[in-house]
Amino acid sequence: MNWRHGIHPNNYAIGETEKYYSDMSEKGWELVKCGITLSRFQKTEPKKMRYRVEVVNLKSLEDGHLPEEQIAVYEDCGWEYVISRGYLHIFRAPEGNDAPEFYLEPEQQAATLKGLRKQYRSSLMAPFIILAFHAFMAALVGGLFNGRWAAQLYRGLVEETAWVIGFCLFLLWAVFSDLWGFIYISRL
Amino acid sequence: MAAQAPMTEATYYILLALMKPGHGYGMMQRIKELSGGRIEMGPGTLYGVLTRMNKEGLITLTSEEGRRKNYAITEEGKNALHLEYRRLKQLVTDGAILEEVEE
Repeated sequence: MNWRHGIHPNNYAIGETEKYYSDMSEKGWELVKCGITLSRFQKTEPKKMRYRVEVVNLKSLEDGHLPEEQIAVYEDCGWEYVISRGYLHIFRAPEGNDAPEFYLEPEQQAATLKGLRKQYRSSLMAPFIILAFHAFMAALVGGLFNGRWAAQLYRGLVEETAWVIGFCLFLLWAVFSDLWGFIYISRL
Repeated sequence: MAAQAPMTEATYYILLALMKPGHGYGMMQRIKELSGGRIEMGPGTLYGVLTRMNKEGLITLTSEEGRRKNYAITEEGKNALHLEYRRLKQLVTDGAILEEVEE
């Protein structure tokens, strides 16, 4: 069998994503393309490759693709462009060739990650809004029948909010800890 | 005359390098030479600054070879560069007292 699929790490786990593809490459599986959860690999001989993820927000893309010029600059330096997935754009280079890192200053790279973080922030708003609305409606309906709508509203909101906050805090923690860890540690 | 905001080193050296038209990787090498090996620029940084400076009119596209774009500095870019150079010289001149203290 000369191809297989694999579940790749989450979009925000950039360091892990890079390591994942590197490890697969060492085992002889080369990245061909990827969808939302799965990546597709092709069998090759084991290679030590460095994989790097560039983060570019969707607004800067030329009709959905990474700008040709940006690819050209990176390829000039020894990187091979592989594939893109939303905000993430994957490049690889053989271990040992001196393709320079994309950003030699952590702050510049942090700037690229702002776009990714904005995406997470706005997608976190949605559950808050939906649940607040739901709590409100539940309270309305319950309250209409026994006239104690204020108490119902309060209870509904508190319970739902507690759930939402718990869940979102966890998500936020996961996203931010990965982002900050990545910025200050994983670049070597 | 309105004072110009200080330039980042990346901007300064890229403009300096583009006194001679060039592109991409070649520019990264030139910047390293010009700065005596002190400034090493990553392709991500370079691409970002080039795009911004092109939008601001400090540099301009001269030609395209396939996907590669060649840039050169504009008159506006040269003025900005000279202003910055004078500003930096002024900083050094004004700091001369530091040399005196060492004696």
